[in-house]
Amino acid sequence: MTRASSRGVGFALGTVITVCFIAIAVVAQFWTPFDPQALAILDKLQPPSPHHWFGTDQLGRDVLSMIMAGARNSVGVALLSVAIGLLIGVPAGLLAAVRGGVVDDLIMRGNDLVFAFPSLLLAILITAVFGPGAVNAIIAIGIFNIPVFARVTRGGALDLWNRDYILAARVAGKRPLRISFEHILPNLVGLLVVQGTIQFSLGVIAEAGLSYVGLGAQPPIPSWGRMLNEAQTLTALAPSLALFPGFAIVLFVLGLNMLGDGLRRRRSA
Amino acid sequence: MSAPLLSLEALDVWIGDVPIVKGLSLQLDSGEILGLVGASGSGKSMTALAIMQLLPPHARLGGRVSLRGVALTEMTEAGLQAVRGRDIGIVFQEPMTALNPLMRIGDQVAETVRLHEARAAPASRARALAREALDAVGLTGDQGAYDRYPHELSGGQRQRVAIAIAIALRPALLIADEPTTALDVSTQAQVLTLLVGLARSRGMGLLLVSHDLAVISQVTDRVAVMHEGAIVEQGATAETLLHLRHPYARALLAAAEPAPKRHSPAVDTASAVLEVQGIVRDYAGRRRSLWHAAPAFRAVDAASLSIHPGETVGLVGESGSGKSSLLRAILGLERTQGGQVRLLGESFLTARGPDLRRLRRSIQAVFQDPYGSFDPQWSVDRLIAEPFHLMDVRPGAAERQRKVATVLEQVGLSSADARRHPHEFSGGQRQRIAIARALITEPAVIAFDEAVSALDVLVRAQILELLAELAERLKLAYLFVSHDLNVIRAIADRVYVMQHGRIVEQGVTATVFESPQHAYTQRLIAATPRLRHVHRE
Repeated sequence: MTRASSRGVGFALGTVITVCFIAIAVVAQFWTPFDPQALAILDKLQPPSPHHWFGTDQLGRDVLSMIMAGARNSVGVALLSVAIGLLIGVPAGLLAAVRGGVVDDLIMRGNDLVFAFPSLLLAILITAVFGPGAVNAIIAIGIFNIPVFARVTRGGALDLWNRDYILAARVAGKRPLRISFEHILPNLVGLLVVQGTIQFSLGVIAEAGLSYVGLGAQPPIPSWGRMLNEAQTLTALAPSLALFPGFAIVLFVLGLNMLGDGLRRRRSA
Repeated sequence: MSAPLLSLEALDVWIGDVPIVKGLSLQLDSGEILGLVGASGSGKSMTALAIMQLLPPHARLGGRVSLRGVALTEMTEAGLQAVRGRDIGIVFQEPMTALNPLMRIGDQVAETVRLHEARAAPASRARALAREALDAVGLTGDQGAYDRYPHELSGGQRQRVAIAIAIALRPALLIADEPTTALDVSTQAQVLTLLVGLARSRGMGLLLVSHDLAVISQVTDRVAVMHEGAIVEQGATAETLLHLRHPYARALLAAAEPAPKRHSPAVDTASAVLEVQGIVRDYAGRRRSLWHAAPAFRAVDAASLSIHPGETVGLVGESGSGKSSLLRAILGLERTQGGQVRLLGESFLTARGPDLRRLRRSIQAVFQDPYGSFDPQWSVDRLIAEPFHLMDVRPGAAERQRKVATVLEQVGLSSADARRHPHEFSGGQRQRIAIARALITEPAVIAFDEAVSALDVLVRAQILELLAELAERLKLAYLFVSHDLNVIRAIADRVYVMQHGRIVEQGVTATVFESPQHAYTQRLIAATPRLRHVHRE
């Protein structure tokens, strides 16, 4: 009883946190308290105050506005990289499950190849070769989402493929491709939503990591990873500068994980 | 007079606020075999669990359970743990889940011994007792049985291990809850013989819980029939079965052994609606070397059969005999390595495009699992209309609705059910929906793969009745695959017997059952439980 309710609390909390961050990202698209890119050298390194809730950085930019705009950047990159993983990984997984044999071997060994590389290292390689920037970060992170979704889709599809209702659909003359879209995919949505949430949180971390080393979104576009990097040299002067982006990353990732975990338990319950 | 071995007095079990067992009283003496019979949901399994005091946490218990005069209902959990396994052994239906897959079977038996004789028993004594128990269930030590793992054993052997665990400490009472329901007929006969032999030779009380009156009539001294949580008939087996009064008990009796089919339709034997010739189906085995192709396992070996218009043909065999593989090959669901299927005189397996669609319309199928046969997200009307995919011109919404309503009514459901989802229906109703789906393209043949095996005896009887009526009214031919000879006998005009991928015997059902020629058929028929003590007029 208590275990069930504590799960429920985690799920609810995760949902609230996630929705808040996404709402902030959407709002930041249209409005922030200050222009996050506007410099005001005279107001630099101010502590949190009623005017600047989170204070200002070494160039006098409003930290709250930067966090909000950073959320927009984070959500955008993570969302698009999950979309890349879904769009390529899910069809690949379905195809591997339906065809089997050589096609399955090719797709899954290709997967293993991508999996074999340390993901962040290869993302650094990709952005180093093709140049830093948000678009390349999205592609680099997205590539690593492909095998994850392919594998989850293939596993789920193989399980469903043994059900009697697939046999019934085949007796009704439906071809594997049609069955994949009519019967397999709709029954995998829950599984993919759970995996998507988890990949989303990994994407947030990866984006922060890439922009921390300067390979993500380029200045002046605000991003949490670069805020952390810039705050590092000023830890003694203004510790709160590192605190806010750090907290934002931790809280958002925690919320996404609680949401994903709650969704997963709901599915298995 | 001493107290009886087991006595239940006014036993009540509630799950939440729902009464499952109502005021049940029962007695069992040493060396006696008591059958507890009822359909699923009658409360018989809950009664078995209540005796062991192993009810689920949200269940409440009333009344008194006593073993040799000692009330189990008043014992502490620690006291009960000592009783379970030592004084009362239990065997469940599913032999795979009852065993630990990572432990050698001998160690699993020895574990029970060690749990009960904590310090007194050295490991060597536990092992000796385990060996003795395995010997007693026919898994002799010199065949290395002690050191094997559950996955290396067949279903029947696993059930023997479960029995060995239950009897290792020579309990006074053994409870067996549907111990043979998951097993093939010949294995079932062996396990029943084993249980009865153990009860007789050890003077053990045996409570046999089952839905199958045929099994109960074969082996029990006394029988108690349960209905909605109460006992409606009780007494010596022979006496009771001869003079059943309660209508529910009579229905159960009738369903246990469905009457053999009386009259076969006049069949035009000149033409065949389905003609199967020399089907071969190989499965790739495990590859043993990089340089050699994987050895093939031949599941179906040159099997041939034919079905005339309007005829019901049974295909019978034990699990692993290849009957399901043959059925799938006939339906064109799996690639074959030889042979051909002629449907309505045309080659089915090589047909393509519009020809294939037209032929597929005339052969439809119903599968075993009433829970797995439907996409859980689809509504009933969408599911039933799925075979419309085979139509050259798909019917419009109005016509579709009308046709779905027609087939729903044909299978005894109402047209209003079309908008509901499969999870809202019982197992029997779902199987009716599956039949409706098979009917919608107005086929000439319907193939059934163990279509009534997962159903309760009473529901099974209703579905068989429905099928017979539909066949006659719609002039349908059936290919009915089952491992249950009683079912085949009740529905089939002709029967094919399959063993190791080959058809070993065929003929008119009555003839095959009365004078089986092949040794395998004779063994199958001998092993099938028949109602004793009851004479059908």
